[in-house]
Amino acid sequence: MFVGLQVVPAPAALEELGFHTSNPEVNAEEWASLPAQHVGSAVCVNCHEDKYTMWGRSNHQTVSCETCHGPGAAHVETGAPPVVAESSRELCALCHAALVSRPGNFPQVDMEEMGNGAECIKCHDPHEPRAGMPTQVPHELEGRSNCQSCHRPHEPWESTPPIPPHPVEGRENCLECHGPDELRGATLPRVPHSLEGRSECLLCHNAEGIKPPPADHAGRRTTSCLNCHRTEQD
Amino acid sequence: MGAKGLLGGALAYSGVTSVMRKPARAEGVARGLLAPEPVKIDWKKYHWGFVCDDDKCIGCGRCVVACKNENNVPWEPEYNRTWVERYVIDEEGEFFVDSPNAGRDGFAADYMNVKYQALDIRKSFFVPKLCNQCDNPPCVKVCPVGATYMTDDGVVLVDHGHCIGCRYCIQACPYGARFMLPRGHESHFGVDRVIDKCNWCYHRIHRGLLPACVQACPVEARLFGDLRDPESVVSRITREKRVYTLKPDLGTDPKVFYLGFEKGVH
Repeated sequence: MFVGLQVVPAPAALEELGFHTSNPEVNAEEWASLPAQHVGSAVCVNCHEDKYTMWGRSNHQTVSCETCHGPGAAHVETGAPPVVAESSRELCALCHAALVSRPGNFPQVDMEEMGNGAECIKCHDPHEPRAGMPTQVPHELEGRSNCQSCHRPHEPWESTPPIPPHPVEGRENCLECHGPDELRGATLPRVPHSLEGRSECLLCHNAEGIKPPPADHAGRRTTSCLNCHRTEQD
Repeated sequence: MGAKGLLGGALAYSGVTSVMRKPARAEGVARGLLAPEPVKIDWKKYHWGFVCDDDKCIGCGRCVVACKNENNVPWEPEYNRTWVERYVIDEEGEFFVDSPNAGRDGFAADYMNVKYQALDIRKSFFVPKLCNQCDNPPCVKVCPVGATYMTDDGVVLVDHGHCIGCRYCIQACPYGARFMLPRGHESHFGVDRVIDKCNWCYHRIHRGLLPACVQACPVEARLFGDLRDPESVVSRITREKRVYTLKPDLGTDPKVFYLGFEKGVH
């Protein structure tokens, strides 16, 4: 018996030694031919124009439809129902629960405190989440505690900041509605009753009902009451 | 498909779309989304690149879910073509890295955050990860049967018909990007127990679409485009901003470029 010694110089890639090399051109085309499962938001407008238009103007316009609703190819092809989350709290929390790892300027809320455990969609339409909410102050509040020093209704100014579209009498503390969460609703009347079974504020608190809202609340929707009026548990 | 499709994809990506009045199915078919079709690729035209922005990622995990749905990746958390890691650095400078369920379920659940409650956290952020489609790929080098290869447009693919499942490439990849499809979970090519990995949604990018994870990201933390096109977002970022890659000392030449560098991210 003898032992033969064979020296094989190492090739640049082991495939040069093998007999099973694949055919890249053919295989790449096979990969490229697979069907896509996500169709993209631009396809949804063909049937869902109203939602699409609303969404396209909203804060959520950078969130594609399928990010929340799941892949749409099967829905487009067969009408299979798209995914609609069972619990809005769980789905919204994926992005909006306050986490220390998230960028500071990303809108986050403490899920335990926000909304008294109610479903997020009770106040926030996911296709236009800020609908019915007062406009957010677009600038830092540091050094700007007296809102009326800039936002004066009668004095002309070069680049006039927005004049409040509502009367300012009785609303000297602008931050009660437009301020950050901690200040909002601080001195406004609180909701003295449980919200269970009472999601439609205006059912009772209308012009003919219990404690009608003041005249300057005209045009406001139920979805915005809780934005300023905290409950007594807060 | 070529330039028109890519332009359409670029327009769709920028949020400006022409509202087409065809019924949705016809549009889906016209875009090649609803039925497999042999696609002629002009792969020498593109050189794809990817950008991950650690400053923007919010750890929602929708990218991981979108990828699993798009690419028939097993739902179990052990199998991922892409995943999200969380880095937590305490006041002493100690690193804690985790990826609960690979980021598939987000990072908001209580049980994922309990362990950090007692820490004094100095900084914390998310790092999305996926195959880097290295220009000098160690996985291609070691495949004994030549089943994995790099296309001319810069994507590393695996030929499931030739893969023998030896897993040498899984060992060779320094990024943990490759995995083996479990028994019973067959790929589109009808085989299980072969190697799979992110391929930048090769079937989507050649139709002018974005990879599923890029489309799913709500905050534009993932970006994709053609590095040969000077106007694409990835070209602009790699030319104008300071980007980093993972494990550059290993010489793999990754094509996923990261923004938001932190010493110690690996």
